[in-house]
Amino acid sequence: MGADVQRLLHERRYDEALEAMLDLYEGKVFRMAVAMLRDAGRAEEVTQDIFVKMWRALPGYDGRASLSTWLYAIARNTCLSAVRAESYRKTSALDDVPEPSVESATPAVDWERLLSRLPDAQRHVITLFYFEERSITEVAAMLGVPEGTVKSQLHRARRALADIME
Amino acid sequence: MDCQRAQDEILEAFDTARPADVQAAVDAHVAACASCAAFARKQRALDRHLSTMLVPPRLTPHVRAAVRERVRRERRLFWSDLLPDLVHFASCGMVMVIGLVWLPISAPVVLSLGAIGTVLTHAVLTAFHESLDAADEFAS
Repeated sequence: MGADVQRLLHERRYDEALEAMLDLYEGKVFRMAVAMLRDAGRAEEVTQDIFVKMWRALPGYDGRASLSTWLYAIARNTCLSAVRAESYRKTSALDDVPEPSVESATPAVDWERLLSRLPDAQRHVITLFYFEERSITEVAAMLGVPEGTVKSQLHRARRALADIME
Repeated sequence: MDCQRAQDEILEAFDTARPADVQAAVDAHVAACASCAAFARKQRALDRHLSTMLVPPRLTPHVRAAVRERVRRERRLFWSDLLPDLVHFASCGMVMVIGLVWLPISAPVVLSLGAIGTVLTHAVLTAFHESLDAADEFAS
């Protein structure tokens, strides 16, 4: 399939290349955005941004990196910008944060909160690991880091989560 | 096998298949070590919880439609942005052709004046567009 996209790019059929890339990577890019943004609605918007940016950049794709590596780099940068914009918005609107509700004091494990206590890199790795059906290779490609780094982050995250749960 | 190695192997087993002999050594260590047995239990429970909790949300079909629409809009914007420049250069070209035919001055002078006029009027047009864009940005 990657070769088909390369052929479409070679023939300058960018709209068809976009469609092919959507077929191949839409789900993966969305899951990456969810892992980084922790908000499915926002992740959908950012997924759109990523593919529009990719479409704009398609004529300049030089084939030095594989298409997936190239797309994941665009996706990572777009997600990181969105995270930064989001954290700025949250910090600027602290007055709007509601008081904790009575329900939030329930003793059940709040997994979202547990995960949020991990450093970003570990949280991204552990979320993507389960999203991508435990594929270290895929997570490494998405995050642009070696597989060994993914494994060590994963192990640190597991140890940290077990410690937090105690 | 010491506790540190056993715990590393327990963690490793969640993402990489372990050789049978390594797994047997870990099992033997865990059977004899209460703290590593507790560690293994806790990690198995954590893995179960994470598998249940970290299920990827489904992407709605409207995302693809939205991407296509945004691409269409960008393409339209590209041509509508380009149109004034195209009209400008075509008009300047026509004026130069008319000048060459009708004006009683030499062709190089007409072409030079035409080129200078084209560049100057293009600069004025660009500045005008930029001021419109700035006003739009300020308004939004």
